[in-house]
Amino acid sequence: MISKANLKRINDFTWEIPKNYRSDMNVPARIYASEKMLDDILKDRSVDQLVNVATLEGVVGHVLVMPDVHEGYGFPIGGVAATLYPEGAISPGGIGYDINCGVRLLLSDLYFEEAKPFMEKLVRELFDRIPSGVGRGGSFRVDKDGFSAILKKGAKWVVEYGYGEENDTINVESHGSLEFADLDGVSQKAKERGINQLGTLGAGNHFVEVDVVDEVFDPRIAKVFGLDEERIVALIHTGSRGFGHQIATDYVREMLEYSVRKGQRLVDRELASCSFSSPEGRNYFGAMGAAANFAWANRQIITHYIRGVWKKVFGDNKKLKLLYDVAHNIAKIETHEVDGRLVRLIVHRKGATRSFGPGSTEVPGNYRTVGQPVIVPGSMGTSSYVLAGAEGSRLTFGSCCHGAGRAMSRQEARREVAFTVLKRELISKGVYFATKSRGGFVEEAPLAYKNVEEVIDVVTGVGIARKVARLRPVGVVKG
Amino acid sequence: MLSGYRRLKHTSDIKILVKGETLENLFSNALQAMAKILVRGRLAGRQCQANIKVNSSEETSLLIDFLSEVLFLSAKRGAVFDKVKFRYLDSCQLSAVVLGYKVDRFDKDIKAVTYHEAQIKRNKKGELETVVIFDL
Repeated sequence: MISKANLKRINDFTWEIPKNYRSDMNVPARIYASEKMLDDILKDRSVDQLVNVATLEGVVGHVLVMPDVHEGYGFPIGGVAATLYPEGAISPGGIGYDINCGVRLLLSDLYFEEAKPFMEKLVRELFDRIPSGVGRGGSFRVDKDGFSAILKKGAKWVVEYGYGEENDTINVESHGSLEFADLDGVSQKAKERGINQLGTLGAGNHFVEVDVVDEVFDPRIAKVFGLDEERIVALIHTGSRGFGHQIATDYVREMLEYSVRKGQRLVDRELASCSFSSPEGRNYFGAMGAAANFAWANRQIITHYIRGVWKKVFGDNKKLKLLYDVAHNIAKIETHEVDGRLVRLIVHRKGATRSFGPGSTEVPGNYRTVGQPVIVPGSMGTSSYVLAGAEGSRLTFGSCCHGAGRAMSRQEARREVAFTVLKRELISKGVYFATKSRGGFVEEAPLAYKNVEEVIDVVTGVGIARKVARLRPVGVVKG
Repeated sequence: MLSGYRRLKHTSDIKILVKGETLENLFSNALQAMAKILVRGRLAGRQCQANIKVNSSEETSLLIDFLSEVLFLSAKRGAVFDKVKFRYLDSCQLSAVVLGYKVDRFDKDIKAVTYHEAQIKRNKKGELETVVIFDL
């Protein structure tokens, strides 16, 4: 296990493990955290996993973890690594099993005072309308051709199909559609596992949440985003469901076989990788694109369901518009500066969100002067944050944290938290909730997560992002 | 303990240590552990079964690939499989029938069975054992 003695302090929030820490490291590894957080981070194996990531073929600059880091498999959760395009490695373990798990924020034209009397009804209606829970299929049905079209076009197809508004694909990372998605590398198993799960939330840490803008920190950027205090917003957190899980399973296995064929020595089998430009690498990237499109389609269909409930509860003239949608488990081909030169890279983000700053052409035009919205959900019952991508993200290949980060195991949470106590606590905070599983609900208790405020202090302290607004939950729907 | 499994601590996912006197016991116990994660209570009701064939490069990968295949079948059929009868099983391939029950719902959403930390080895008591981590 790595200890603090192995780390070099770069500044209050940046720590580095030098390349010579282990002979197989190709680049140094960086941890973005306060000293207080670092003590906890070093208790699990996440930093050892980060060192393993530094052995990837063609990795450049440094590998890094965000302050919400915790132990994963292969990559730690909160990990970012960039490899040279096109010959560098691509590793499915660097994206994870829930491809394009991500967060979408919807902006309402309601303020809390007006909405408050309807919150209990709203939560109940959302719970009834949005299929959630383990392995639960949805009511959204398409034939095989329609499904293939969704995998190729993502949210764009769903909006054209009538499940969205014209502007819905503007304020989405990659406009909710990766053009490189390719179905040739998608298994029949993945299709069978996914076709009935469109428009479903799933379980675990996935949720739909209704929040109030609690405090605005940067009025100029908040105005551009459309956020002001007491405004009601809705958050969606879900991903590519069984479709993405199966694609990841298929390709981790395929890349393991590739490693065996090539006689590669793997430090961790979940880090199996191949050259991006190999047939296996291209196939995975195309299939990953299809899973990312599935996830954007999924969040779009759920958006449509939420809008339906919104009208039912608040009336036909009450609208929800899309503020932004970010992926936090994905690989992207992007251009970043390495050693003073602009280089095309394969950026792996596993539990990390893009944080592109002002001027980036990949940020929608309406946000380009201030940087992209970075949506950071906290734990249930605590605050979430809206940040704006900033110039400091050049240090992190344009990446930021993706949440509070888990700190306690599910078993421990079940032992430590009683459902009735958590229920009382949420009610006392004015949070209405509905869930399919009491056990699953307590596993997601705030106690099981890091303090989101500390995570935000780090990423804003480093300059990766700017703090724009804090959100306070008033309604939670979980599977 | 001559066979069986137990939960180990893991921050976000489910980690088990599974043991067995033989490779067949080990695979069978790992299957039971996965079934218990998917549905905590006693399985009952409509029975179902499925044939399964898996080829892998070595025995640890074979175990993980076997569990992944069963997980896929669980998702596809809405069923939990907790028993297995092997036609043959060696370190690189298996053919078997898995048996279980149709279920209305799962208690846990296992996204995937991971290779992380998995390594079948003999312990001091001479049993086969390995860690298996299920991604939730």
